Amino acid sequence: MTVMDLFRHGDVDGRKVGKLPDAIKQIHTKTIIRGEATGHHHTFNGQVLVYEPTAPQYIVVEGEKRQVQKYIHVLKTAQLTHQEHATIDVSSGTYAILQEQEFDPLEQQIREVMD
Amino acid sequence: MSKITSLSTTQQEKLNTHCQKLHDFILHSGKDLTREEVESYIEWIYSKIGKPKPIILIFDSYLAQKVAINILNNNKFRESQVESQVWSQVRSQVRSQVESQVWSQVESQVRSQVRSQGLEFIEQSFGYGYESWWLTFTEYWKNEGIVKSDDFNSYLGLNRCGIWSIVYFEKSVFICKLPIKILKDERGRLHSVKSPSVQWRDGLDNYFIHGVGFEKDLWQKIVDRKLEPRELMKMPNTDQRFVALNHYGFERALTELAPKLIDQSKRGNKLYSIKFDAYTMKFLKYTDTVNGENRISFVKPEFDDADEAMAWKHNMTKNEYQNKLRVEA
Repeated sequence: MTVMDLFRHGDVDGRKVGKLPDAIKQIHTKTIIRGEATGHHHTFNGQVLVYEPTAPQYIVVEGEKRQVQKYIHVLKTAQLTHQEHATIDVSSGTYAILQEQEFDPLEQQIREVMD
Repeated sequence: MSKITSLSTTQQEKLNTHCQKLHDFILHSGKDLTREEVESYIEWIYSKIGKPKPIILIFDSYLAQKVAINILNNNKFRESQVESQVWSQVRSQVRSQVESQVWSQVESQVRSQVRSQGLEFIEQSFGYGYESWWLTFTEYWKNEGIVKSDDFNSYLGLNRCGIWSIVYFEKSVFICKLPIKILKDERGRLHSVKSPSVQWRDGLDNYFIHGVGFEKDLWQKIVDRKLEPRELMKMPNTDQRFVALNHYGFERALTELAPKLIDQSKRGNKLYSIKFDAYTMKFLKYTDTVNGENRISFVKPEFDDADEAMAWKHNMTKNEYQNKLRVEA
C-alpha cells in the first residue's frame, strides 16, 4: 500500500500529522468541507473519525501559518467522495484538513478558496 | 411479515420510475396549492401535537415566506416555533411506523439514488423538499402494498398538495408553494442564461449558472457579458468566478488584461503577471482536475515559479507538490 503523506481533493488538502492534538472535538459527520455556491461536499465513506478544533489551530508550511479546518483519523483506507471530483482512496492515518488558498490582489490579503 | 433486505431488478426499475415521477412533480409540475387542500392536513398535524388549528399563511416564493417569518419574529406577534414538536410527535412517529416495514439498509441505498436525481439542491437551499427522499421511497412501498399507514398517507398528502417549504409556529403556519418552473442543464444542475432557473409566482426568482447561484444583478452582467475584469477578479467565490470566466470567455479576459507569462511547469501550471491600476498581480492558470478546463487563481506577487505558487495554494512545499503528492483529484 502506498504510504500517503499528502492528498488533494479539489479545494481540500490533507496533510498527515503525527497524532491528534488535544483541543479538538469529534463531530458526527463524515463530511469534511461543504461548498457554499454549489452545496457540493467532500465526504468520506469508510471508517473515518472527523474532529474540529475547539480553538483556531495552525500548521506552519514554509514559515507561513495555515489554519486547520478539521482533523481526520482514518482507521482503514477510506474513500473521499465529491459530486464532481473523482473519488480518492485515503490511507490510514491522522491528517489535518486544510483549505486551498489564494491571494486577493485588490485587498492584498490571503483568502481561503471557497467552492 | 418478513423484512425486505434487497431490491430485485424489477423493483429497482419501478422505484427509479417512481423517483423520476416525484422529481418531475416537485421540479416541473408547478402545482398551485389551494387553501382548501392544505387545511385538513394542517389541522391533522396540529391535533397530533395537541394544539388548535393555526392560521395558515401561504406564500408564492421561498423568499417571501422567509421574510414574513422574520417580520413575525421581530415584532410583538413573536411566536415560538413548534417545529420540534411536529418533528418528534408527527414526522418521526410517521417515519418510525413505516420504517418498521422496510429495512433501513435498502432505504440508505435508495436515498443516494433519489438525491442523485437532482433533488440535492432542495435540501441545501429550500428546506422542506428534502423530505422527498424518504417520502418517495416509502410511497413506493405503499404503492406495492407493503407499507400501510394512515398517518403516512396524511403526511404524504400534505406534501402532495404542492408544498416547497413549511414552517410551523404556535398559532400560525407559513407555507411556500412550489415554484412555477425550474430549469436545469444537461447534468441536472440548476441553470439558465436566459431566465431565472427557479421561477416563483411573485417574481422573487433564483438565478443559477451550471449549478452555481448568483444574485440577479451579477447573473445579468455575466449573461450579458458586461462584467468588467475587475469585478471578475473581485469575486471571492471560485465557483462563481469560474462560471463567470467561462461565460465571459477566458481568452477574452486574458487578452484584455494583457498578461505576461512568467513561468510554466511540466505539470501544466502557468504563472502570469498583469498590471492592473496601481497593482502588479500574479495569477496561475491551471487545469481543473474535474473537467480539464482552465482555471485561474491569484497568488502572492513574490512568486516566480509556477509549481511553487501551486504548492503554496495547496498548503505544501514545492518539493512536496512535485515529489510527494501522489493522490490528487
